[in-house]
Amino acid sequence: MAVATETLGKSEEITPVAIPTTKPSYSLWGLAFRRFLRHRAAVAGMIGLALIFLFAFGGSLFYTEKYANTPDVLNRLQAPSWLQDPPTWEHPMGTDSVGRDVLARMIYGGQISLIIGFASVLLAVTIGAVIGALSGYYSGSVDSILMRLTEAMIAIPSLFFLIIISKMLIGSVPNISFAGRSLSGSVPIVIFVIAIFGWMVEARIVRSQFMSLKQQEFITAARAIGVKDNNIMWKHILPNSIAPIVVFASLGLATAILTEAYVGFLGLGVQEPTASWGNILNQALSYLNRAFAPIDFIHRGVWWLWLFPSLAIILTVLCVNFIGDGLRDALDPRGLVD
Amino acid sequence: MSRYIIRRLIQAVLIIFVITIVTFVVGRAAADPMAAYTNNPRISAEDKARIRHNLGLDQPLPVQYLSWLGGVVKGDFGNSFTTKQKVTDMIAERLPATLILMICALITTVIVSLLAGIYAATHQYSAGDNLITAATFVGFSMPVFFIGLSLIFIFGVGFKAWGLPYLPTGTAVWDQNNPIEWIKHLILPVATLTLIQAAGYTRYLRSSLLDVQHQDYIRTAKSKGLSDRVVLWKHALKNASLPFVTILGLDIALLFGGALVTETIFSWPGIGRLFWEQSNAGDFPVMMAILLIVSTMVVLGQIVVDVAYTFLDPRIKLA
Repeated sequence: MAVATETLGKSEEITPVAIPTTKPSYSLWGLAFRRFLRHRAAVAGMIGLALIFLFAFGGSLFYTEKYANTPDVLNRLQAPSWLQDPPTWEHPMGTDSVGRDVLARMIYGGQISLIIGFASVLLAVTIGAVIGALSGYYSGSVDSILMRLTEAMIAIPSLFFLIIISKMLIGSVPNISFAGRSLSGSVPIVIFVIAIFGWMVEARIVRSQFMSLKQQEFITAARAIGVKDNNIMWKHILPNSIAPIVVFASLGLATAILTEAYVGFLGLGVQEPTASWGNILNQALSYLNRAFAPIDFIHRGVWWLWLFPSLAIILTVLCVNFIGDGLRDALDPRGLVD
Repeated sequence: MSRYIIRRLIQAVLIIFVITIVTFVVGRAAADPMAAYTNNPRISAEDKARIRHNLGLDQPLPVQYLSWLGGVVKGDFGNSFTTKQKVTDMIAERLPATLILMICALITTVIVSLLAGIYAATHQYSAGDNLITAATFVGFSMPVFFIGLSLIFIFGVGFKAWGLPYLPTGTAVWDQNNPIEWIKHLILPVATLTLIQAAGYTRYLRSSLLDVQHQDYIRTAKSKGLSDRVVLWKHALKNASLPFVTILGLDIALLFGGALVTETIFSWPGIGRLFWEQSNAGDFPVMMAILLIVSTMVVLGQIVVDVAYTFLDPRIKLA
């Protein structure tokens, strides 16, 4: 590899005009982008995710959030209206246990679920980068303490822990205003809780990157001219380990959206009336577990309460996984990530 | 080798120590054992203080931690807040159901994923392989409750509505002395767990089998004139099973925690559901005990897996 890049570099110097026209040279990201475009599943995932975003954010043009959050108890638990006689489009995905329109809740819930997914991954990536960087750069006792913490967090079954933490934090949280909307204060808490459980793998990846990169000559050179530790870590080493972080973040996004679904399904996620894909699902669970529930579930089969949000979650996660796979192949053709 | 194991065990003790701290901090911060009395006008402030004192809650947190840890080391997790039973008894009562469910699910998972993984790897890029790969991708992206609810809806609700013999979905009480009833109630939860777990196992097995196929020792084995079957089962599979064994080890360790979501959906009387029920009641001693036991199992299981590597792949030297 070293030889090849060297000759490429030289020929560029000798014939500076010919190369851009016949053989355009690409940066790491340019090459990665081209490889990504050749990954058909990843491109499909990209398109799919764009459509999901369009649904969640474009849908606000058709339904107001007030409509999504307003109960209508006379029309509770209606099956999708196009299945009824006469078929209408009033409630295309039916209504929930207090008569709110499921489609409108899917739209506003989708916004919340996507925001939670992206925000918690961003937070998790930051935590993982800091812990991995400190651990890999300083080694020694800092490393052993941080790695024991990481291993401890990996060993703790996350769903159990999520339940305890959510129980602790989501009590009576006040509503918050965000971007002109009033949201349940549980949204940032859910972001935080998911992030606490999302950084461990990344910390290990970043740590191993730092351990090998800090031995390299450009770091020795930086140190020789007196660059401070902080700058070496964040300005010199971190940008060189961005590729595995990006791959991790994309796969972490899939996990984060799934986690929101699990927590929401168990009723510990975003609190009503704010919708999320997870908490629409929770109603299906409550129809399973209440004393009268089996009757309702079996005789009325409230399938629209779990089928539509589940499908939205599966599609999103599938698209994100495809994108993650494509990014992995594009950024790391020789297996940078362990 | 024995030095390696000793060093790993010392590390494990440290990790478990960190886990006990995390568990205690979260458990105590989240739970005020006195919460049940706060709004009770019949209990005077002095009584509350006396109860606090008797429970040791008036002592500084580090002291409380040490006394809790002292009990845990002796296998005493204290008493439940709600039922006042010993936590260990409550867990022991739920353990058999969880073990039955999880072991059945693990066995079917291993069988299904071995078959699917080997088929996919030996018929690379065939229609069957593409189907298996697609299915594992979808399975990977699915929340377990979706599979559970779908199975209930089809085989419980749907079959009953269509007049077909339907499967119990676990919401009813059943005769627990009748083994046939047990099997009937096991089918849907085991199928749910198998479908979700097999996706990961199959994916890892397929890719590691494909990796191994092109290695020198496989070529040597083939050129010795060994049959494909022997090469696959005796040579390739043993080596390709490393990632498989890794997740198997993790799942065996997690076995003791049961499957929270699946058990909740199917009302299975296991440890996962115990955790869920007690978490709704704010019963932190039970939650802390389950959390700690399962985490410890995972830490120890990791060591077993690492040692197992040396038997599966003699090239791995632990130091």
